[in-house]
Amino acid sequence: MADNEKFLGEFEQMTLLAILQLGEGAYGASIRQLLHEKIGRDVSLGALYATMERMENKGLVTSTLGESTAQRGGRPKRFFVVTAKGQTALKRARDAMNTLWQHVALLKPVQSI
Amino acid sequence: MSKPLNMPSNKPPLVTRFLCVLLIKVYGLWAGDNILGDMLEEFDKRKQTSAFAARLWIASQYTRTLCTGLWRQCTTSVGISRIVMLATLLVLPLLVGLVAWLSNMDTTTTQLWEMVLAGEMHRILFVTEYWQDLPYALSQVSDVDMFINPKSALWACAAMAAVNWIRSKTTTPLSLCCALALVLMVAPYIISLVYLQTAQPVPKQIGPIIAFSLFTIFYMLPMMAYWLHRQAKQEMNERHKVEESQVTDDERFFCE
Repeated sequence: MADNEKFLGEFEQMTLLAILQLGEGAYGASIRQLLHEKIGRDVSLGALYATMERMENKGLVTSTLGESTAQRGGRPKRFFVVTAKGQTALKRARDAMNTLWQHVALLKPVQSI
Repeated sequence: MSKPLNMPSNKPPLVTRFLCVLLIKVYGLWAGDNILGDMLEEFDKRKQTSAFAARLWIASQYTRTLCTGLWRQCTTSVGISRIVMLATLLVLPLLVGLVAWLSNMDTTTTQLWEMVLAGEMHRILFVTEYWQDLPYALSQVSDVDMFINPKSALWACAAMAAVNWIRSKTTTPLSLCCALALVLMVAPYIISLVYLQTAQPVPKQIGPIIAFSLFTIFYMLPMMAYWLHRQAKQEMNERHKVEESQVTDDERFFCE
């Protein structure tokens, strides 16, 4: 990966990890739900899809269309998969954070008397 | 991709055809269509528990999504460029009218005259008498010389050159550069307003001060709109280049 290539943003990392956790069933609503349940982050679908579109343009994820359902007003689900490039970027971000966290000692919470 | 306006038979009352079109307009067909599908699916699930809560949820989700999209559009270089272009189209005719009126203001009401003496040009626009006098003032415009002010032109050019220099030499975001240009454009007007209200100079001295402040906006707005348009175009070209190089990288990866 080129040195001048940017690191993934926090939300990008979270979304990619959510897709990896969900596996084959990763689509907008399920990703949103997982982020809400696991980390308590209530993202709007707009913010989520804006990120997904950007990541798909960057080649970090790919998407395929599922079957249309009446529940969705005749619209098919769009399932996402993290590409090899996405996984590399995710690993790079994790390694960078791990490196920075080494030998970092945070202050212990002060105990009340 | 499915048709964007293919609405379900059990569509929630808040998600009307118009709102769907609006969402797709803001997000584009790719994201807009998916957002609508997911929103309707989750609405349907929530409706099983409570129809009222589901309606509340979809209304808040729609509003948040729309606000996010609109904000995203407004903060892109293209969005900023369009807003400034619109502002230019709205403000320039008002300034032409003001200049024409000020140049042909032989007799006017006490209220308008006091506003001129105080340099409150913006307040004049809300006075009925001004709009009644305007057609006559515009009919008297026969010379473009009245729209030439070298000092303002010099200020406008220097300000835009400074903003352009900052943009090209530093990593200052376009929105910040735009804000700086806006401050440099409005500063003469604000300063003249404060000066005229505190120093209260004789009427003869007021004309050039007002002219300088108004013409700075008159010259700078179109310059700013053009500069932003070019910046947006440049940014788009760079993005296309990056996308093309990414495609080439992917092709190389698969060939290997």
